[in-house]
Amino acid sequence: MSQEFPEAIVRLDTFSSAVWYRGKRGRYLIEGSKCGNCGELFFPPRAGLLCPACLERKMEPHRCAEGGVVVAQALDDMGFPAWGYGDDLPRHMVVVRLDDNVHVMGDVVDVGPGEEVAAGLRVRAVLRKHRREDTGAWAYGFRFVRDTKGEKGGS
Amino acid sequence: MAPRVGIVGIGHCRFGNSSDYDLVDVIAYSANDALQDAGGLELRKQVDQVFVGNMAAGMFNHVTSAASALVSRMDMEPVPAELIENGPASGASAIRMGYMAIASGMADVVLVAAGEVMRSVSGWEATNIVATMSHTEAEYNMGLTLPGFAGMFTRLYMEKYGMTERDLALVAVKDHANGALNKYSHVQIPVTIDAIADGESANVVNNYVAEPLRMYSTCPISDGSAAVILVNMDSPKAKLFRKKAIRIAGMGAATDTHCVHNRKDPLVLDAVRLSSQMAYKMAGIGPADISFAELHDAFVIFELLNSEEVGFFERGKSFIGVRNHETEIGGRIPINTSGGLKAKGHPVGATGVSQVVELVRQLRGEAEEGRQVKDPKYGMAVNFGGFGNNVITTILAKD
Repeated sequence: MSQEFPEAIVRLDTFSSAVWYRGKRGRYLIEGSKCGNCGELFFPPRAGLLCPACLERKMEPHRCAEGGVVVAQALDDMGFPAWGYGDDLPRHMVVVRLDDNVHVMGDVVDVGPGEEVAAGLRVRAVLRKHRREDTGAWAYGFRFVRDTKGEKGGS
Repeated sequence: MAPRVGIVGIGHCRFGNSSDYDLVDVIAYSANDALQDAGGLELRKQVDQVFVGNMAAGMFNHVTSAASALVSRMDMEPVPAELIENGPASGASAIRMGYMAIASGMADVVLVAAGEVMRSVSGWEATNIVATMSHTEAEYNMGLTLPGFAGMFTRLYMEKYGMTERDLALVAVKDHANGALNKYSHVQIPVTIDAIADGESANVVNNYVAEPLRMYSTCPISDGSAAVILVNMDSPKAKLFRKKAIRIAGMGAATDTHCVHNRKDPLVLDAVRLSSQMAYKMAGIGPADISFAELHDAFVIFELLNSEEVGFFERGKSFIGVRNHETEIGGRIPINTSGGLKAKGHPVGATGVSQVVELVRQLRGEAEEGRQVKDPKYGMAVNFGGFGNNVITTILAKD
């Protein structure tokens, strides 16, 4: 199989397309949870769980904002890329504070030469390919691009 | 009044590459050493309980139920045995369970052995397996590995407090100087600041792993094991052991949010602070009483953050202390006298017990010449499980 696909292929049997598919609302839409009682927002979603702020169990789906600001960044350039991201190095791993004040982990893509990714950069979420499963199926999810004026929409 | 719990035997193998050996044999090696150290292999029949610390043998070695295998391998049946898994804090957790077993009165002598054989898989897979402890949906699936996390922490710290990459290298130089003297450490070669920060080829020798984190800011992937024997110092069985017990004066444990991005300030490691406060309170001492410490430095930024959270330095000042040689042997508060995870190695499940073995060696005065702390009274170990979200602090005292 590794001849068919140039990128690193998953070899461990602990993860599957089905797992990715089940979490699709979180990964396609950045859908987290909102407490129906006190309005606290959460990502990842806490569906069916107690709200740690008010101890009510009234979680509702909540689509998080798509724009945000980078608050932490590291350029992952190690010899051991994260599983399935072999051809994708180096990657700008970031924590983004979305405009509704929810923090999410992610990476910034489409960074051209000489362009800097650092805390304070405005980014917005786009739907992109993530990695290829051992079945050959592509997993999609949100990633971030620089939110500069005049840039076209996501792919 | 809980009984006093002491450590009467220690065992440790040299960390490094043991991937030719069976995981259970690697753990049994240290467990046997601990029994020999305590007075002889026949003492294994006095053991009331075995706890084995291990993080991911199921994935690394295709082995599960290592505790049952270990008692059989060591001819210790029918002693009760359990496997304790708490990520990279599995070792410290196993010791904590041993303490609890003795404090509850269910056991008087407990063998705690921990080990990990990680080099049975490629470095790439090992990184992937360790990364499975992050949040599946929000962290792991975004393609984040632990060096990526640590790189973010390092960047935030550098921007907030004005630390430079050279300061990180200074910590590594100090750790490797200690590790070079430790007969158990994986990397026994000292490094110079010239080689990894100042010199012309430093960029090649010490390349980026997750910028601004470099190779010498990161622990190696190691195999190894360590073991201790805990005993109720107030029971008649304590007299069977020839070594003077080193008392567990304090233990604390605390947890934090699973997702790092859910913390209010990622540079504040609440779990470290709370667990150390718990341990200080139990021991009836404060940070100034600690003679030396083993802090979990899978990435050197953690050594700095931990030393601030446990109270050795003010927030944002620890790297200044490193510049002033305060954390070296003979300094104000020697940190990672064994070489730490950085030089000694980090077989994830074994690390917690390995740190405690180092405390015992120092408190007994058995450390190698050149890295023995002068007349220590209290030693402290901080063991991380997860990314700062499950922390166990142990304080040992020489009475």
